[in-house]
Amino acid sequence: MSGLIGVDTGFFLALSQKDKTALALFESPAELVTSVLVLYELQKKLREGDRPRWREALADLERVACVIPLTSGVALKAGEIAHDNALPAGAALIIASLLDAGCRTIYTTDNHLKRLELRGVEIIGLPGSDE
Amino acid sequence: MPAVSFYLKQEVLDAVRAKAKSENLPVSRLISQAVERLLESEERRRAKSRLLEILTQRPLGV
Repeated sequence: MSGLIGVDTGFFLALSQKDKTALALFESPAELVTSVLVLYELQKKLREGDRPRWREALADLERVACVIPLTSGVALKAGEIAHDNALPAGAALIIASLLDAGCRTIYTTDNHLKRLELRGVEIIGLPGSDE
Repeated sequence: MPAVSFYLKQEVLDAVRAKAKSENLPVSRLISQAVERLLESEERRRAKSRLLEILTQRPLGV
């Protein structure tokens, strides 16, 4: 595994379910990249899941992965991807952030993203709620 | 910035000098960067461990 590896919120959910692929990636030296939207979505999941240490988890996520902010460039790219592939806003913003950061491998549980075909980008599907 | 002094084995110092020369950096800067990277890497490892512990307490709902 080399280069920047993009991960979405589903990756962290898969990790919480001890998915072998997610665990192997997380424990490898791979450089993980994610989007600020994942911080938002994961905060909701952690708090709904009654995790008192949710703040600590999110602070650690920022130490473990490079968190890409939303910019006007990312928003415009997300609009294009959403239009061309009929993607929901959140998924499009996350994928656009990861592509903008230079990720060419992306791990996801999102069925919309699993179906996405982007030249030069490998989308690796993890088992998740979407299935 | 405080200055520090310490001992290095001769072969380590030779390797550090060669590396610094090849990267066009002062030896002190090269050593300083190496220490910073080591500390960051250890903090990152601890963060990974804590995050995994919190996430895997029980599966997060969807």
